[in-house]
Amino acid sequence: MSHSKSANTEDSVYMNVIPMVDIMFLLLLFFMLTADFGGRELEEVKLADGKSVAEDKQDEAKGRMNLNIFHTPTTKNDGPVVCADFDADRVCHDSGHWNIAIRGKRYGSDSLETWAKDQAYWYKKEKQGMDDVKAKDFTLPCELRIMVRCDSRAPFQFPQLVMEKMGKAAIYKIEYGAAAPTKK
Amino acid sequence: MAGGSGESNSDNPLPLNVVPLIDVIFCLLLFFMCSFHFKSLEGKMEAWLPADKGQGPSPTKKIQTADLRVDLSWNAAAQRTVRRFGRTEYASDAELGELLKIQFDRNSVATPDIAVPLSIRSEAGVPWNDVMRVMDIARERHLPSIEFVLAGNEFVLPEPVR
Repeated sequence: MSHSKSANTEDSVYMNVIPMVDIMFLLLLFFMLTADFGGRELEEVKLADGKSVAEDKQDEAKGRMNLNIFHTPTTKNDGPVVCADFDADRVCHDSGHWNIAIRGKRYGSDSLETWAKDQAYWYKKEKQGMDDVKAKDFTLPCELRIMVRCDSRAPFQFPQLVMEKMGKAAIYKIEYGAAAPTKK
Repeated sequence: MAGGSGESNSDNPLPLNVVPLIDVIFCLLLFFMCSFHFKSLEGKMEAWLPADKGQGPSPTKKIQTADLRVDLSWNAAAQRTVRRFGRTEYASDAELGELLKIQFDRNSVATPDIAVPLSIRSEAGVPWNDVMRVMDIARERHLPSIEFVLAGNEFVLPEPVR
């Protein structure tokens, strides 16, 4: 047996990176296409369970605004507030712990009313074809749909506030987010 | 990594160094994997606010039907919600549901052309979960419309600090 040609490990042992690069490109493409760079539409909330909930189809969500009522993260979840009730899955009556947010922006009572009226004005003018005077008339109903995603541990005063402010802007199509009971 | 394809330098005089490329792709991949959110399955319940009983001057018809109203109040001492239909307290979902259905059917016979909505009147401190439970009971019994009785709400949510 001839050993005239010595083994050269640098030439014979190598890693073929082409399949790895191919797969990584595919993964990268998938994550880039599915990434959401918009504002945070959905906050972390535990929705109330409902046996009669209707499935929320994707095409029904078009043109609808999501309004979130959520608790500030607690220290248990590396958040800034201490709330034993919330952590124990009980209702939290500390109104300072609750927030109302739309697309990642938080609102107070006054700014929520302003937002609702601005949205109603724009919607009636652009989508319902009303003129400027009618669009500013907040006794005329606005067809804009609002999805209220309220945490099940929130006191009623928060959704009540939302209903009241939407009512002032004549936005009457309100939907409430609920979760289908988990199958055991 | 250069020359990783196994070709000799004579075949490929300008080898491509893919190491920085892979580094960058790994970083991008890690970023997108960390920021990825799976869409959670959610449902919804519809409860249109009354369009003709708000600020508008439109008069409402006076109808002689039995009131279909559930009152919810919060018992802070017992840490539970008290549900009343009329003057009676109903803790059981099935019992409350049956009663609502019976009353609704009676109203439908009395005024077949008008569906009397279920009115939910809740105190501010009642957990949203319990309000939704009543809505769910009504929906399970196929009650067509639900309204909220909104008493003067003095609660003001302060503006968030920017």
